[in-house]
Amino acid sequence: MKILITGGAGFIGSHLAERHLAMDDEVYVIDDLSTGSMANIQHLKIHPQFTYYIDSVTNTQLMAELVDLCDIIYHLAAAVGVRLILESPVRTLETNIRCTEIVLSLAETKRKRVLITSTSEVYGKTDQVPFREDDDLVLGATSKARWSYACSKAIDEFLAIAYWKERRVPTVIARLFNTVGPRQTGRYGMVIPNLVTQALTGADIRVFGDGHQSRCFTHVNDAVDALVSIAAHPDAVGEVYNVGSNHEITILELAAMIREMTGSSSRIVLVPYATAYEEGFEDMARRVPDIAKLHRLTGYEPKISLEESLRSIIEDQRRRLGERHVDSRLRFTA
Amino acid sequence: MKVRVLVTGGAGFIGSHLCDALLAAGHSVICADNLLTGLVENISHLRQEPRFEFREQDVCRPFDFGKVDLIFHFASPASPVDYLEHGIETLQVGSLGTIHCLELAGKYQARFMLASTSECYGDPLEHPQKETYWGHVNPIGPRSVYDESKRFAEAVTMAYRRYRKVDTHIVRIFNTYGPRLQINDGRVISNFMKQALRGEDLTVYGDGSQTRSFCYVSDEVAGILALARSEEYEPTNIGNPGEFTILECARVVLGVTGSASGIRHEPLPQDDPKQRCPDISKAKRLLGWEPKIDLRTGLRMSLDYFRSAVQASTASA
Repeated sequence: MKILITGGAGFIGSHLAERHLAMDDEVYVIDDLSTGSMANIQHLKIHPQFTYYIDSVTNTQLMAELVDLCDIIYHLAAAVGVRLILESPVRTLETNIRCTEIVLSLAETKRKRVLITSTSEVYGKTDQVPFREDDDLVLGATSKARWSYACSKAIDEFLAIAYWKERRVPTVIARLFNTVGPRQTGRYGMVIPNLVTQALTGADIRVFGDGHQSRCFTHVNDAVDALVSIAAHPDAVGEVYNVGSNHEITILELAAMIREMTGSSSRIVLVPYATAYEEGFEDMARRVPDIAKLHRLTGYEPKISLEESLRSIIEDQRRRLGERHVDSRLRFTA
Repeated sequence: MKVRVLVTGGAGFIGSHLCDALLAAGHSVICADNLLTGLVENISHLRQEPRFEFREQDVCRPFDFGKVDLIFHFASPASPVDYLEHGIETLQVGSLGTIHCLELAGKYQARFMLASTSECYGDPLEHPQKETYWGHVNPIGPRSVYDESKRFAEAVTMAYRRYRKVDTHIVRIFNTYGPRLQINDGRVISNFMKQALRGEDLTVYGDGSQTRSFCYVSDEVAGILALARSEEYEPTNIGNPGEFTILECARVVLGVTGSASGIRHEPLPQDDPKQRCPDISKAKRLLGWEPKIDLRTGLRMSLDYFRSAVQASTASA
């Protein structure tokens, strides 16, 4: 089969590309490298069934060709991460909504399968855990930029469902819950990569708020399993699925675990949200997916424990920090 | 002389072969296609060709890619499966699409060729069909979305010649087959090849005594290009007059594929024409053109394509 992955040079996209290549599919990737990176797909470039384009989804000419060529489209291209959203809300809104519109309207011509990735952020501030796909969304005020991300993704979901109901484009939506693993960057506000870097470099491990907020982390391989299983599933069309693990951990516990696993002597310090992000920043206390719907469809269960996930991330970061170290020395002698 | 050629519908079956032939002759080609029924796969082998340019463009909307010397207007859903699904788009591309191309031809004083069809003759009362036959078409039947679209396209093409002095040509294309014929287009050849290669029985409607004629795509394209070079502006049939009963055709397919499939008879659908066969004496006389490739040879040359297309369709199913 031929697979198109928008945002394929990103963290999740590159793992998804790898998986489909392993399944002997032809993989096409489009990524404008705004948050993705060539380093993520460097190892795939030599693969004969891998083709990539450094370009934006808004290049509709190119996208029309790619969508026409491929059997399944994974739309992962998006402005992601809390930090990016706070810094560039206009870009977040435009990228997320416009690109999804383009993908869906091009897929309409020949009614190609489209998987739209959404996020646990769409549940917003609700305290009714675990979150079920048919729960109400509780979003904050429009004056709080943070919610623009959730809102743009909710619009993407509306669009995907509308394209199925009204135009018969077979779409499916995956709401990803805190996906982690090798290659994830902390640059856009993701918690684990940041804590691991701090632990490895001996800097203070900075935990926001009181640290009692909890999250559920899914290893990217588990998330990719889920995406692949629903993307082509005939009964998944027009449906929304939570993709994640329901193993919950507070950020304070997480920080302690990382400190222990890295053998770091860093201090764990609490940083008020207002300092970390902006005045009046709102965070959710808990975020737990109900994954029964996905389980019913495919028998899905996450397989990789948090400890294993952390081990793979720490190892990956150690290697990269080492490389960076070598890099800076080279530059110094040159 | 090397010229800049626009091929609308250039990602389609005949359009893509036309692009190939034009590039081989040394011309530059702009291929415009909205990919409604065309496939990027048909032209992906041209991606590295510097004289080739693909534009995703719906020709029902005004467009202009700069000066061109020659326009082949080949955009339209063309198989019954496609034009019945996209009835409105079919009427739009025959009317609006044709007008936009003719306007462009007028602006750049480019030669224009319309891809018309044997369907202009409808369910003909005359056999074989000469160009002078006016046709027998139900203007409000389900197939009229294609037949009348093409008849209007011919009318507007002749009008631009008469009123605007555009240098126009019209080719009436008959049943064509070959590599890149979509395997799900519901036509006899694609159905038979698909069934034979999958080891399924070949479906013959009725007793199989109704006849068809089939032209191999390289013959068709050679005829189209010969007509485009000529000064003939009235519609000209280009097809293969060799007539086969459906049953004969099924046997040829079984022979070429070496398939052990049997033949299964099903009741004849109501709108199945009994016979359609081109009279190509005009093309022979004016162009010195005639088809060279018989059905058996053509199918043999298409076998690799059909094999991989059937394989791909089973893999993604």
